[in-house]
Amino acid sequence: MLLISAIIPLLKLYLAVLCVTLAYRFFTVKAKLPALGLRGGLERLSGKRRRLAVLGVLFFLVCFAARMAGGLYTPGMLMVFNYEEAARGQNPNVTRFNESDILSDHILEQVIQRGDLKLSVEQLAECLALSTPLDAEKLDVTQASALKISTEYQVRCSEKVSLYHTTPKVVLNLLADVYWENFVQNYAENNSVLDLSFQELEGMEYLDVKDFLEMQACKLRNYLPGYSRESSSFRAENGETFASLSQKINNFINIELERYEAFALENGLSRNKATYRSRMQYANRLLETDRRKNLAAHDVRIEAINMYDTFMTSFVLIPTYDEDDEFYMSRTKVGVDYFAEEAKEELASATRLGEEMEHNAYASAQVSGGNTASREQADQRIQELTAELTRLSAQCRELCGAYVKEKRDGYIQVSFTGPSTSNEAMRALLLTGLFVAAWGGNALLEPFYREYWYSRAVLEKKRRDEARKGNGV
Amino acid sequence: MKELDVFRYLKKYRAVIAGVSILAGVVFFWVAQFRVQQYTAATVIEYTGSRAAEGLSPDGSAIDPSEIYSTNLVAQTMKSLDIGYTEATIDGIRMGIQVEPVITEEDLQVRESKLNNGEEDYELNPTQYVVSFSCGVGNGKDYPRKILNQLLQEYGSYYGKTHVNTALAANPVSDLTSKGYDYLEMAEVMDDTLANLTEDLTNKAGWNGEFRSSRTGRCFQDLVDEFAFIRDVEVRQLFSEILAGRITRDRDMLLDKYRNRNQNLTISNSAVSFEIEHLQGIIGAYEEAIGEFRTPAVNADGESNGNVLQNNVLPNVYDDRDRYEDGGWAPVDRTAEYDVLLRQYIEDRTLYEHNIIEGDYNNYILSVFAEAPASSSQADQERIQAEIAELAEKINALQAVYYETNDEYNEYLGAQNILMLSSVRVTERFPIMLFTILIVVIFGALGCAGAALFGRIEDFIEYYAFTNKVDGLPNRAKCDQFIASRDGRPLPEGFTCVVCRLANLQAENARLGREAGDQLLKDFAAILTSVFPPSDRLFVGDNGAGQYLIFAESLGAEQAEAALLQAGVALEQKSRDRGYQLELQSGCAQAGTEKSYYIRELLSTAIKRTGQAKPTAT
Repeated sequence: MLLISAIIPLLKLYLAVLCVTLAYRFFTVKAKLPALGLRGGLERLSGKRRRLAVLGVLFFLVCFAARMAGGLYTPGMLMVFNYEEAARGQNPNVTRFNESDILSDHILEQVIQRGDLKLSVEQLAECLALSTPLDAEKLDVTQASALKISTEYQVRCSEKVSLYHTTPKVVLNLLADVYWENFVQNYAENNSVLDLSFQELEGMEYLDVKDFLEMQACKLRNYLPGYSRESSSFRAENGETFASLSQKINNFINIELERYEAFALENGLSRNKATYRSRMQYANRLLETDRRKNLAAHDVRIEAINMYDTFMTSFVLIPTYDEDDEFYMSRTKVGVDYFAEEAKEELASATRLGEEMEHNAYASAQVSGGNTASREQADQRIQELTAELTRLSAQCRELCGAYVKEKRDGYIQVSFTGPSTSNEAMRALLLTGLFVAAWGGNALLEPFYREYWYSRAVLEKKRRDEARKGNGV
Repeated sequence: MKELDVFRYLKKYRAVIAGVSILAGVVFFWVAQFRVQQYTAATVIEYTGSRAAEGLSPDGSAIDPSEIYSTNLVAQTMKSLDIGYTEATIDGIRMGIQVEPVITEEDLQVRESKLNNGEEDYELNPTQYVVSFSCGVGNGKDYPRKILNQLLQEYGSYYGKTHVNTALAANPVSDLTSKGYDYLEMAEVMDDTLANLTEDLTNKAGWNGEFRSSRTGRCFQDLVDEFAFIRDVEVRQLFSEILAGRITRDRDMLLDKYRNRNQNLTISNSAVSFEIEHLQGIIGAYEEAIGEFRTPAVNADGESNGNVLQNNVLPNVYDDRDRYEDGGWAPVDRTAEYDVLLRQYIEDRTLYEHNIIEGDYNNYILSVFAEAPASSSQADQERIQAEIAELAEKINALQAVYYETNDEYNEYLGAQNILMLSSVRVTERFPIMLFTILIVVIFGALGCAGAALFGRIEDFIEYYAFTNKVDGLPNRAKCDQFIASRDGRPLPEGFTCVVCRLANLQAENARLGREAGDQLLKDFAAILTSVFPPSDRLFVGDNGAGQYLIFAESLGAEQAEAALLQAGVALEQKSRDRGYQLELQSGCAQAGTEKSYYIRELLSTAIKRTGQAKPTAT
C-alpha cells in the first residue's frame, strides 16, 4: 500500500519535472519561435493528439485510482459524542471533557498492547492526528453564536503505520475500542454499587444483619434519584419506573427488614449473647456521655436565656411575607433567639441519643441466644432477604441500563469516512489538466528544441574539426 | 543621453525583479513558517459560581484567572503529559499562556451608565475569559491543544479543591498499627476518625446529593452509610472487647494517661470557673448600666408612653454591609456586646460541664482498667491487634474510595463552576501566506524603484563612458565590450554583422567645416538607427575608426541588403537637403551563410567586404 500511496507524489514530481522542462525549452528556443507560431505549433501536434489524449486518460485513471485507493486505505474516523452533556463540553459525569485524551499516551499504550503493534507510543502518536470542524473557524468572542462546543472529532491515521506491519483501519478500530472502554470506565454511569456483596453476613449478629441489609438497600435507593429527577416518566419494558422501584426498596426496608428485626428481638437471637450485650452496654456508655453533654449544653443555654435581661429583648417588627406569600410580621433577632435555637438542637440530639440508648438497652435485655429452631428460621429469613435484595438490585440494573441505553446511546458513535468520489475525480482532473498542458507544451517545442540542439551539435563538430586541423598543422 | 523611460528599465530588469521577489518570498515563507509561525490553541471559559458576577469564588475569595498559569498547575500539566524539561520549561509554557477577560460593548455601556448615575463604586467583574496558549510549530498542531486541555483540566480540579470543596477529613488510621499506641487509644483514634469522616461526608451529601463518582460508583451518602456501619458495629465491638477483656499493652501507662487527663480537666475547670464568675460580674454591671433606660418615658400629662423601643417598625435595613479598605464589600459582625458576653458565658459554662462529663468517662476507664493485669496475655493482645489491623485495613480501603470519589468531585465542581463556552481551537497565529504575498509585492515594488534608479545611473554611465558624443551612438569601448561579451560563444545561424563606412568623411569635413561635419555624422547615425533600430537583439555602434558596426541576432542577408539600400536612399535624401556629398561603403556577413560562428571572425569578414565594396555616392 505504501507503493500505491507513493503514486500521487511521484506523479506530482513527474508533473513538476515536465513543467520545468517546458520552461527550460521555452526560454531556450524562445528566439526561434515564430511570432504567430502557436497556431502552427498546434497543427504540428496533430500527429500527437491521439497520443496526448491516451496519455491524459491514462494519467487521470492512475491518479484517480491512486487517490481513491489511498483514501480507502487511510479512512478518517469520525467520533461523535452523542450524550446530552457533550454539547456543554462535559463528560457524562459532568466533569470537563478533554478531547486530547483520545490520543493521550495511556490510550495509545493500550492500543499498542491490545493490537500487539510493533511500534512505540511516540511513533504511533506521530501517525495520528485529531481535528474538529471548528478548527477552521476563528474564535470570535464578540459573537455568542461563534462560541460553540464541538461534539465531533475526526481522527486520521497516516499510511506510515504500514511500516510497522499494520494498517490505518486496524489502528483506528483499536483506538475506538480502547477509548470507548476508557471513557465508559472513567466518565460514564458506574453501577458497580449495585453489585451487592453479602459475604460480611457470615457470622454477623442477627440484629446487625438488619442494619447491614438496610445499608445495602439504601445504596440501591440512593442510586435511583438521579435518574428519577432526569426522567421521572421513564418506563422499562416490564412497566417498572424509578418511582415504583424506589417504593419497592422502601417497602423492603420498612416492612421486611422491620419484620425481621421484630422476629430477632422477640426470639432474643444472638450469635454471642455476652459479646453483644457488652457492646450494647459500652455503646450506651458512650451514648450516655454524649447525651449528658447535649443536655448540659441545653441547660446552659436555658440558664443564659433566663439570665437575659428583659430590656435587652426589645425588638423591631419587620413586615414581610411568609412561605405562602401571606403578610407576616417578623422581628429582629436578639441573642436569646440564637440561644433558644441552639438549646433546641442540643435537646433534639439528646433525645435522639436517649432513644438509641433505649433501643440498645431493650435489645440487650432481649437477647438470650434464642433456640435452634428460631435461629434456623432467622437464617432462612436472612437468605430470603438477601435474595430479595439481589432481585431488587437486578431490577435497578435493568431499569437504569434501559434508561442509559436510551438516553446515552452508547455515548460515542464511531464511523469511518471514505474518500469522496467527486472530490477525488476533480483533483485528479486538475492534475490531468496540468499534465496535458505541460506534455503538450513540450511536444509543441520539441521541433524547435531539436533544431537548436542540432545546430549546437554541428557547431561543436566544426570546432572539434578546426581544433583537430590546428593540431595537425 | 537616452530619455528617462521607467518602463524601459522595468523591461530590462523584469527577470531580476521577478526572480528576487520570488526568492525573497520563498525565503520569508520558509523562515516564517518554520521559525516564526506559532500555533495558538484558544478557548473561552465562564465562571458560573453563585457569586461570580461579584468577582468572587464560592469560598468568597476573589476570582483570580491568573491561577490558570500558576507554576504548580503548569508543572502538574507537564507531569501529566509526561513532558520533560528538555522538551519545554515551566516558564516557557507560562509565557505562552494568555488569559484575557471578555468585555462586551454592552458591559461597557452598563458601566458607563452606572457611573453616570452616581454609582461610583460600580465595578465591572467579567466572568468570561479567553484562555489561549501559543507555541512554535515544532511539536505539531496537537501539542498546544494537549497543553491547554490538560491545563484547564488541572485548573478545574484545583478550583474545585481550593475554592469550592475545601474540606477533606484526614486519615490518621493509615499507619495506626505501627505507632505503638495502646489498644484503647487505637480504638479511640478510629472512632474519632470515623466520626470526622461521617460528618464531612454528611455535609457533602447535603450539598451535592446528586453527585455520583464514575470511577468508584459511589455517592457521598453511600460512603456515609458504610463508614457509619463500621463505626456503629465494628468499632464499638472492638471497644467492648477491649473494655470487657481489660486488654492493654501497658496498664500503668494507660492509667497514668487518663489520670493526667482528669488532672488537666480539673485545671481547665478551675480556670473556666474563674472566668465565669467574672463574666457574671461584667454582665451584671452591663445590665445595671443599661437599666437607666428602663424608666418609661412620661408625657406632659404624666402618662407613660410605654417602652419607646418596642413595636417600632423600620422601613428598611440599614448598614447591612461595610466596606473593606481594598474597596470590597462584606457583611460585618454587629452582634451587641451584651450578646457577646452571654455567648462567652455559654461557651465557658458548656466547657465546664463537658469537662465534668469527660472526667466521669475517664473515671469509668480508670475503674475498668484498675483491676487489669499490668500487661494482658500475649494471646489476647495478638487477637485484638489482628482485629485492629483488619479494621484499619477496611477503613483505609474505604478511605481510598472516598479520596478517589472526592478527586472526581473536585473535577465535577470545577466543571460546574467553570463552564467551557467553546471547544479548544487550534489556529495558526500569523497568516504567513498573506505576509509572503505582501513580501513578494513589496520586493517587486522595491525592485521596480531600484531598477529605475539603477537603469538611470546606467544611462549616465553609458552616456559618459560608452557613447560617442558626436553622433550619440555607442562608442568604441562599447563596441569592444559587445564583441568581448559574444567572444568565445558560437553565434546562431541568423547572426549578422554589418559594417558601414563613410569613405569621404574627412574630405567633407575639411570642405564643410567641423560643425557641418558633426551634423553630418549625426544625420548618418539617425539614418542608421532608423533603419537598424537598436534593441536587445540588434546593436548599432561607432567603433571610432569611421566604421559603424551593426550586429543583429537574427537578420537574413536579404533583409540586411534591403536595409542598407534603404539607408543609402535616406542618406541621399538627407545629403541633398543638407548640401553635402557622402560615399557609403558597407559590407555584411551572416554566420550561417559564411559558416563563421565567431564574432571576431564574422566582423573581419564584414570589414573586409566593406573595404572591397564600391562606395555609393549620394
